[in-house]
Amino acid sequence: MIEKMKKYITQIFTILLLTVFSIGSFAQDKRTLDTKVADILAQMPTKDLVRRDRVINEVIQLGPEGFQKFTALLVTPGEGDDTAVRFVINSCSRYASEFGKEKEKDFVEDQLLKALKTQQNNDVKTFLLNELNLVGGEKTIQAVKVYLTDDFLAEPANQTILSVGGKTAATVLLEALPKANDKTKPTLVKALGELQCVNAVQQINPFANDKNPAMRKVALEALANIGDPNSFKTLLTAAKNANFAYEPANAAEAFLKYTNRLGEKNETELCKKACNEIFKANQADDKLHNYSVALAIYTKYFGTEVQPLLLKAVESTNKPFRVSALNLAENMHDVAATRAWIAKAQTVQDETKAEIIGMLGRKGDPLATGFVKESLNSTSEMVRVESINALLKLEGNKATPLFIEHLAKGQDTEATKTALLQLLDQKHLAPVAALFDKTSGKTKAAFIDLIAAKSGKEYFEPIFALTKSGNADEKAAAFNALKKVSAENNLEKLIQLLLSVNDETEIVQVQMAVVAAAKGVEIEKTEKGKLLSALKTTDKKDRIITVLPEIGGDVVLATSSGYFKNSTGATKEAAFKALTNWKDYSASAALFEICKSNTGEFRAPAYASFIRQVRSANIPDDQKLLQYRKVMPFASTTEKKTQVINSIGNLKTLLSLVYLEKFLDDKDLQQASARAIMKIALPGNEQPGFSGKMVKNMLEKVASVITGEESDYDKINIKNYLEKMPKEKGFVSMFNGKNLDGWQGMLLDGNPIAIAKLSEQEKAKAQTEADKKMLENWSVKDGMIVFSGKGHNLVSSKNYKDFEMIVDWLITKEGDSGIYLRGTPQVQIWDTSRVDVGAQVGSGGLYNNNKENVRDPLKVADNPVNEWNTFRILMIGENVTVYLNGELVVDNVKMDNYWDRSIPIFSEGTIELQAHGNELAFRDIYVREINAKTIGLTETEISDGFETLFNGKNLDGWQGNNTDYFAQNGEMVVNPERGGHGNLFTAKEYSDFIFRFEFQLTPGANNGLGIRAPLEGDAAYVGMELQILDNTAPIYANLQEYQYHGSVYGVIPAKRGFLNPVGEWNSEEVIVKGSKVKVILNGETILDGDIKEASKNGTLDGNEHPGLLREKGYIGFLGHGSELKFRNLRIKDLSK
Amino acid sequence: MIAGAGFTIIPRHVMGGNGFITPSDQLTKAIIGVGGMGRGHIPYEGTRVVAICDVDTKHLELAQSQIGYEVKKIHDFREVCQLPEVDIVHVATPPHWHGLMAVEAAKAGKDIWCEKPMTRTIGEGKRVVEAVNAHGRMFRLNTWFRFKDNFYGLGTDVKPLKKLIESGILGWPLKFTVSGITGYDWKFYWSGEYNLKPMPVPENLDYDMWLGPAPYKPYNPERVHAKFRGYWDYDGGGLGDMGQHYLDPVQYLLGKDDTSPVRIEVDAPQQHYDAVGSWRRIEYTYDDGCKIILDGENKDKDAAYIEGPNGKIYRGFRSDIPNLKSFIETLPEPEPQIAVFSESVKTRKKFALNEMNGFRSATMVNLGIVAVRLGRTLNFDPDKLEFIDDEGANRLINQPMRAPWTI
Repeated sequence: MIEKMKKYITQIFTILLLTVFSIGSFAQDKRTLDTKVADILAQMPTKDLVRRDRVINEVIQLGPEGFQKFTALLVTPGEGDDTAVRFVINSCSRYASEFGKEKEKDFVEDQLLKALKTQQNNDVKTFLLNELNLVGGEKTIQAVKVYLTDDFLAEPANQTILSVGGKTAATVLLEALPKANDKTKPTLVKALGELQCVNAVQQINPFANDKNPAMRKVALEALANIGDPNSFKTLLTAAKNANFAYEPANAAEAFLKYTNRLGEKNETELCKKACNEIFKANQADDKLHNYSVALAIYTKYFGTEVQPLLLKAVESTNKPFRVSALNLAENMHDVAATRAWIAKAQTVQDETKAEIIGMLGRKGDPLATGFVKESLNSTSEMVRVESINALLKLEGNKATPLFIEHLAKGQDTEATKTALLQLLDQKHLAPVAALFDKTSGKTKAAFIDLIAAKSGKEYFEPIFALTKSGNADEKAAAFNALKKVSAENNLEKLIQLLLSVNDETEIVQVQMAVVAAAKGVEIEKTEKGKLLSALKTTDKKDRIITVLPEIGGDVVLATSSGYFKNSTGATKEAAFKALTNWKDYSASAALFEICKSNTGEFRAPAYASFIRQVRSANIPDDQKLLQYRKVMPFASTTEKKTQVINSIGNLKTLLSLVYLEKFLDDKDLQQASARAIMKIALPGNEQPGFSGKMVKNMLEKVASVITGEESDYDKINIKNYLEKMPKEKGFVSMFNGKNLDGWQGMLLDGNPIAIAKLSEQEKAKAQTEADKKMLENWSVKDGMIVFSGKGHNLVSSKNYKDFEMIVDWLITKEGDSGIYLRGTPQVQIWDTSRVDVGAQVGSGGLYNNNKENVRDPLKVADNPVNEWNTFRILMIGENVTVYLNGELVVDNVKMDNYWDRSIPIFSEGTIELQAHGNELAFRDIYVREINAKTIGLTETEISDGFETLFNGKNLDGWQGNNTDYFAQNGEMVVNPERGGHGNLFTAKEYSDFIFRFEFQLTPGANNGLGIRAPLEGDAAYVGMELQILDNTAPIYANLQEYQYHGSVYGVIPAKRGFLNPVGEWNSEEVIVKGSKVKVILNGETILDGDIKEASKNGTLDGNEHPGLLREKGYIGFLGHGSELKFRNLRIKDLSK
Repeated sequence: MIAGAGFTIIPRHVMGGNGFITPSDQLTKAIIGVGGMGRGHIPYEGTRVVAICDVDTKHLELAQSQIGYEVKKIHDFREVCQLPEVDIVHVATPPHWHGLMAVEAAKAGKDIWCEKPMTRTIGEGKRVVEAVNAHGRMFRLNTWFRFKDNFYGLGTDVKPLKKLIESGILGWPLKFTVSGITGYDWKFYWSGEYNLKPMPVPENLDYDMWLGPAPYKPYNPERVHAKFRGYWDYDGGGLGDMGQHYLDPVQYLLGKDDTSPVRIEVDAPQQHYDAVGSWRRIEYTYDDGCKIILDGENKDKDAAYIEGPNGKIYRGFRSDIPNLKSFIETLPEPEPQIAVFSESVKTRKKFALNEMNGFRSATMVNLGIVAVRLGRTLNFDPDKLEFIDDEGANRLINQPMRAPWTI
C-alpha cells in the first residue's frame, strides 16, 4: 500500500522533489510553497508520531494558502490517488483536536470549512465533514447547516453537528426539519432527540404515527429522549398498540426510555405513573423483562420506595425475573431492606429463598450473617448450598471453622469443600487433620481430599494408614491423596505398598505417589536406588517399570530397554510403555530401533513417541531435522506425516525449508507444509527470516496456496516480509538431484598448483578423461550422489571465494571422506570407531592443518555410520567455521594450504567431495557465495558504492593490534587485557570518505576514531581523532567541550546528549571531505565543521595539530584501555 | 398486586426447573451473521440452532448446508429478535453491529452470546451493560481464556496464575508484557487498503444493511467479508480482532474487572482516516501503577510475562521464584467461575465473562484504538468513562449512527 502511494508521489512530484534535494536541507529554506507541499506529501505516512506531529505542525505553519493547496488535491474516490493528501488533512484535524491546541484547531476548522465550500464532489465533501467531527465548533454548525436537507450530505453533516452538540446545533436542526424530505427526516428527528430538544416535540409528534416503522422508531425514540411530559400519551399509546412487544418501531422501548427520562428530569409523579403503566401491561412471562426495566427505573429514582415492589417480584414463578429483581436489591445499601429480605426469605419456596440468600451474600451486609448461618441447617439442599456461598462472601476466613464443622456433619460435601478450598492453604490444615479421628466414611474422605488439595505433606502418615481402612470411601480418598502428600522419605513404604496392592486404580495411584517421592532423587537413577533394587527381586516388575520414565537417567533407561528386549508379557509391555513415555530425548534411539524393526502394535506408539521426544529434545535444529527425516518413511497416514511437517516447522534451518517444499504439491500435506515453511522462513521471536531467491519463490508459492481461517493474516505477513526481504541471491543448489551437472572429474590428484601449470589444451583433454572416469565411480540415485568406493574426488565446476555451504553426508562402516574447500583438503569425515587413525575425535576437523594450528574438531558430533549428518561450513578469508549436525566443531580456524605449506590458502577454488575407498553418499548440497565486501550492507549502500570494512569473522583488511581487537559473533571486540599493543588501522589509506559504524560502550569507555592517520605517532595530533567516549560517566564530568564524544579532538566540539544509554548500540556516520568533517550520531548531526576554519586562529586546545594538513591516511581505532565493541563497519571512498 | 393471576402463565424457557422443556432438552439459539465466524457458532455446545440471519444470501445458504436440518433463514435481525422460540441470540456480525444488536436482543428479552470485540466504541459498550442489566438478561462474550484453555505461552490455564497473584508473592504493582517473547503469537496488525475504488454491489449482498449504523462509503469488496477489520468504521484491525482475547485474561488476573486504565500511550506510524494501519506498542497504566504492555515488535527482549517487585513469570511458566509450581499447589483456590453459558442461562448466575467485565476489557481495546487513531497519549477517568482534557478523544466515545439506527 505504501508502495503504491510512493509511486504516485514519485509520478506527480518527482521534479519538485529533485528541486528540494538539490537545494539540500541545510541550506536556508527558500523552497516555494508548492515544493513545501510536495515535500510534506512525500513524507506521508510518517513512521512514528513524533515525526507526524513535526510534519503536521509544518502544514499548519504554511498558513491558509498552504492548507488549501492540500485540499485542492483531493479527488473523488476512483478518479485518482489522493491518499497522501488525506493523510495530511486527517492528521491535521487529529493533531489540532488535542487539548490546548486552540489556535491550531481554529485554523484547521476554518480551512476545512473553506475547502468544503469550494469542493463540489459529495464524497470529498463527506470526507471534509468527517474531519470536522473532531475540530468543529459553532462556526461549523452555521456553515454546514445548508447540507442538512441534502439527500447525500444530510447524514454526514448531521453527524458533524451532533459531534459539536449544544443549543445551536439543536436550533439549526429544528430549522431544517420542515424543509426535509422523507430521506432526510429520520436523520434530523433522530438528532433532535439525541440533543433532547424540547422545542422539537410538536414537530416530531406527527411522525410518531408515520406509516414507515423506521420513521416511527426515530420519532418515538426522539420523543422519549426529550422526555417532555406532554408526550406521555403519545408514547404510551404507541407502546400499548405494539402490545409492549419487541417490533421494529421499538415503541415499547421508547416508553421505557421515556419513563427513565422522566425520572432523570425529576418528573416524579409522571415517572411513577409511567412505571405503573409498565407494571400493568407487562405481567405476561414474555414481557417480564420490560417489567424488570421499570423496576430498575423505580429503584434508580425512588430508592427504598421500590422495596415492596421487589419483595412482591420474587413471588413470581419466573426465575429470570426474580433474579433481576434481586440484582436490584443487591445494590440497595440499607439495613431495613436487609431485614425485610430476611423476613421475606422465611415465607417463600426454597428456590426463591436460596436466591434471596445468594443476593444477601453478594450484597455483603453483615446483618444478614446470622440468618445465613441459620440457613446452613435448612432442610433444603439448594438453600444450604447458597448459604455456604453467601457465608463465604460475608465472612471470608472467619467462616472456616464453621465450614469445617458443617463438613464434619457430613452434609453438602461438595459445596463445603469448594468453599474451604478457597479459604485454606497448606499452613492452615491442622483443624482439618484434627477431624480425621472424629469422622468416618465420606466425611473423612472429604477431609483427606482437602489435605491433598493443598499438598499437606505433614499428614502423610495418617493418610498412608488410611489406605488400609475398611471403609471404601476413606480408602479411595487416601489412595488418591498419596501423590500429593508423599516425599522422598516415604519411598520405601510406597514401594512396599505398590507391590502389595491389587486394585488397578490403587496401583496407578501408588505409582503416582512413588513418582512424587522419587523424582529428582539422584540415587534413584542408579542401581543402588530403592526402585531398581526392588525391581530385581519382585515378580511384579511391570509395576515398577511403569514409573521409570519419570525417574530417568542412563542406567534406568538401559534397564528399561533390557526388559523390552529380553522379557515377555506384562514386563515387556510395561518396558515398551516406559520407553515411549520417556521424558527426554535419550530413549529416542531405542524407539527408532523399535519403529524400524517391529511392525504392528509396537510401531505406531514408538513412532509417535519418537516424534515427541525429538520435538522436546534440547538438540540443534539441524539434528532434529535429520531425526524427523529419518522417521518420516514410517509415517503411515496423512495425519502422521502432518505431525512431522508441523514439527519441522519449528526448525529454523534452510534444509527444513528445502525438505518441506516438496510437500507443497501434495494436496493432503499442502496446508501443513505451507504453514511450516512460513513459520520457518519468516522472522520469528529473536530470529531473522530467511532470504534469497529460493526462499522468495517458496514463500510466493505458499502465499498462493495457503487457505483457512487465519490465512489473511498469513498473506499479509508474507507480503510484508517479501517487501523488505534483502534482495540477495542467497543459497543455491549445487546438486539438481537428477544428474551430475555442475560437477566434474578430478585432475592431477586435485593439486591446483599443478593444474594451473597445464596448458588450456592439456587441461581440456585431461578433463574429458577425468569426467569419463567420474561417471564410472559417481552416480545419482534417489536424489543422492553416491560413490562406489573407487576413484577420485567429485569437483565443482565452479570456483568459490568466500561462501557458506550446507551438505548432508552419510558414510558406511570404516568410512573416510571429506569436503575440499578451495580445492584443498579438507573438512574431515570419518567413522569415529577407527581409533587406529585417530577418528575418535569426530568429523568436521581441518585434517590437513599444520601441526601447530587447530586440526581436531571441538567435540564429537557425528551420528552413527549409515545415518545422515549435516555440515554447515562457512569460509571467509582464510578462516573456516564448521557446524556438524548443528554443533560448532570448528570455530573460525585458519585453514592451511596443504599443497604448499609456505603460502596461505588460495583465495578461490573448487568445492570437492572426497573419495577414499568406501561407499558413501551426499545429498542436499547448497552454497551461498559471500561477497566479503558487501557483508551487512543494505542494498542502497551497495548501489551507493559502500564496502564492508569488517567481515565479522576475522580482521582481514586491518593491520596493527589484532590481539586486543578480535572478531566474535560478528562483532569487533576490544579487550585491552589480551596483551596486545597499539592501535588497529585499516589496510588501506583514505582521504575523503563516508564511514559508517556502530559501537557499544561500557561505562566510561574511551576509544577514538583515527582519521587520515599515519601508522605511528599520536593520531590525535599527527592525524585527526574523533572521540568515541562514554562522556556520561562521572569520571568525565569536567571534560572540555572539544573532548565530548564525536568531537574532532581538541579542534571542533560536538553536540552532547545523543549517545544511547551505555550498553545499547549507537550508530554513527562520519563524512570527511576536504576540510569538512561531519558526524551524525544516532540520526542527529552532532558535528558539522571545517578543520581549516576551526584551526586558522589556533586550535581550541591550543596544541599543534599538524595532522589536520594531511590529505590522506589510515582509519583506525585508537584504544585507550577500555572494553567496547564495534560492528557493521562500512565505508564509501569519495575520492574514487 | 403482581403475584397471582399475572404470573400463572407457564414460562416457555427451561428455567427454574418448572418450565417448558424444548424437545431436545436444549436451549435454542439464533445466529445473526453467518459468515466464517458465525458459522463457527453453529456447533457450540448445549444449544440448538433454530434460525440464522444474514444480509448476504450466500452466507445463509452456506450456513444452512452446514446445519443439516431446516432452520429459519432471516434477512433482518429484528425479525430474529421477534421469534418466540429463540432463547439465545448469537451476534457474530462485524463489530460495528455488535453493540446495537446486543441491545436490541436485550430489549426483546433474549439472552446474548456476542462475538469479540464486544463493541467498537466505549459508548456502545456502556449501553450494552445498561440494556442487559435493566432487562435482566444473561450475556457472554465469545472469548474464553479467563476461564478455560491454555493461556498462550504459559502452558496452563489462568487459575494457577490467579492463585499466585492473589497470594501476593510477586508484590504490587504488576507489569504484564504481551508480546511474541512472552508467548503470545500476537497479531499486531491488520492493515486496510488505501484509496478504494467504488465498485458495484454484488446481488447477493444488502450492502446498505451491512453498513447499518456505519457511515456510508462506496462499496468495495475490501470493506466487507473477511476484510472489514482493516477499516476503522467497522473494527480496529488486529487489536480489534484479537485484543480482547489477550487483554481480558490479564484484566482478570489483575483483578481489574470493574475499572479501566487511566493512561494509554502508543507508538505507531501515522494512521489513515479510513484504513487501519499497524502499530508497535500500546502501554496501559492503571491508577495503582499496574501496567499492561502490548509489545508488537518484541522490543523488550528480556520481558517477563508478569513482572512484580518480588518476582517474574516468563513464557512457559518459568520464574525466578524457586519451586513455584509446588508453592501454587498449597494456595487457596480462586472463586469458581461459570464456564458453560447454558448453565448461566438456566441458573441466572452471571457467566464468567459477561457484559460487565467484558465491557471493561472491550474498553481496553477501544482505548487502544482511540489512542492509535488520534496518535497521542490519553488520560482516562475509569468511573466517568471519559477522557480527561481531551475533547477530541471524547468525541470518539460515542460515534453517531446513521438513521434510523440508534443504540
